[in-house]
Amino acid sequence: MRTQTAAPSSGDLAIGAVAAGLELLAVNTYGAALAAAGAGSLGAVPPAVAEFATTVQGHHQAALDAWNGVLTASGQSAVTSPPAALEATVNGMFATVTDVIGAAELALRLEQIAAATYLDAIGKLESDAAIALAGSIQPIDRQHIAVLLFVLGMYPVPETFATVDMAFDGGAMMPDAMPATS
Amino acid sequence: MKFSERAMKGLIEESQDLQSGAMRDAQASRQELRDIGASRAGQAPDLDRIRDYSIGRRNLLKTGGFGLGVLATGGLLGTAFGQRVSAVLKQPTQTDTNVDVQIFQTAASLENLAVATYGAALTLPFILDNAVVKAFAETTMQQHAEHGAAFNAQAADLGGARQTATNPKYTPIVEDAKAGLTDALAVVTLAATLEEVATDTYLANLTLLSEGNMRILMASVMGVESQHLATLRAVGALLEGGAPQLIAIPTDVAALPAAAGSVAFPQAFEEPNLASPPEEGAVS
Repeated sequence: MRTQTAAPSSGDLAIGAVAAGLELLAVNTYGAALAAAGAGSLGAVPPAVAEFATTVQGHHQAALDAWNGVLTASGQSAVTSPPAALEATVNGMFATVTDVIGAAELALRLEQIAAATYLDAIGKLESDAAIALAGSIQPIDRQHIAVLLFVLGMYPVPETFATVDMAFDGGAMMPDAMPATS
Repeated sequence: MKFSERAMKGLIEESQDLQSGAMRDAQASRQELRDIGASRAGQAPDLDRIRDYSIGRRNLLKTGGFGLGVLATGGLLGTAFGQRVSAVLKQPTQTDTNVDVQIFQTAASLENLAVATYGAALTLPFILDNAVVKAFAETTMQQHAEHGAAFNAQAADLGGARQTATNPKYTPIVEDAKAGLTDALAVVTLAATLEEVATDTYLANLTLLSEGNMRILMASVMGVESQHLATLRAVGALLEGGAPQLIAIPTDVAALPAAAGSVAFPQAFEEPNLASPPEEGAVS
């Protein structure tokens, strides 16, 4: 049985740091996509896709701020860089993106990793505050997934139960470990 | 309306394949839950758990959870309807039943109501005429049935009864709403409300459940309900905006209005505004 704790445990803070790193990677990736769109590198960008990227980048920035708030309130340093190996993988994939569809597919993978990571974390976190925060973010990431699937021409709710299959544990995640989206 | 039944069938079959792994995970945790249930059989209720829950519930009431905040914001708290709901929400916690069991029974009651509501929607001609909306309603109804079965399995594994009835608070609200279901938008709005109630309830449950694997099941379903909610918000916006032709798979992304990129998720964090308390749908 879980021992309810008011303050985040050391394990909670470790998970929070991983979550913050993923959020920062998402903020940076959406930022890069918006910059590429602005520069014309992705071809024609539909208004709904531009709106999606701007809104969702804001969501991930808010989540990053929330996790960094948890970390700094507990005397830890705020996370200021994404997980290096995953960032390198994502940046490598982004370098091959030439259109909106490619950008949406990469965004879908990031959202799937984030949602699965939060689901996994919800089972491991110990403090109510950390559980509630992870729980308040996971459904929003699942909503991002639904809209990206719709934009990509896929059924928006393909799973009956969300899974932890793509959860990030802080280590490297290579492209061949990332399931195909179509 | 653009729609390929073959493509939709393929997508749904693909989604069912994706479930095999998830169901294996759920089965793996069931033996553990049965062990927990057996270890608690015949024991007196854990008063510390009840106290923890009661404190958490009071905090939620103070912060506007369990529906009170929404009632207040909507100006409904002072109405007869609002006062009736408020009186229900403020009833003291039952102290003779395991809180985890109550949570799963109430969750099952919400799933049962969702199944019944989508089932009723599927008798309406304007739903049956819309192939995409019809396919969504059928698939979502099936997903809710599986959620309800999973919750009831957990309640049973913990030594509780299965909840086969629909949620007592929202059933009369749905029944009252049925007379107004005269077009697809009204159905989508009602369904979205039920999906939001489920999402918010499961979110509130996360800090009340006693075991990590129970939280994972709850959050696993919460995430899917939130996807239903997002989809319904987007569909509702397209119907309201007079663009039903864009409710298609695949859709014409270039023709979507800008708002379609944000209407599905109006906030960065989900909040338990419409959460049902654990005892609301418990088997008495």
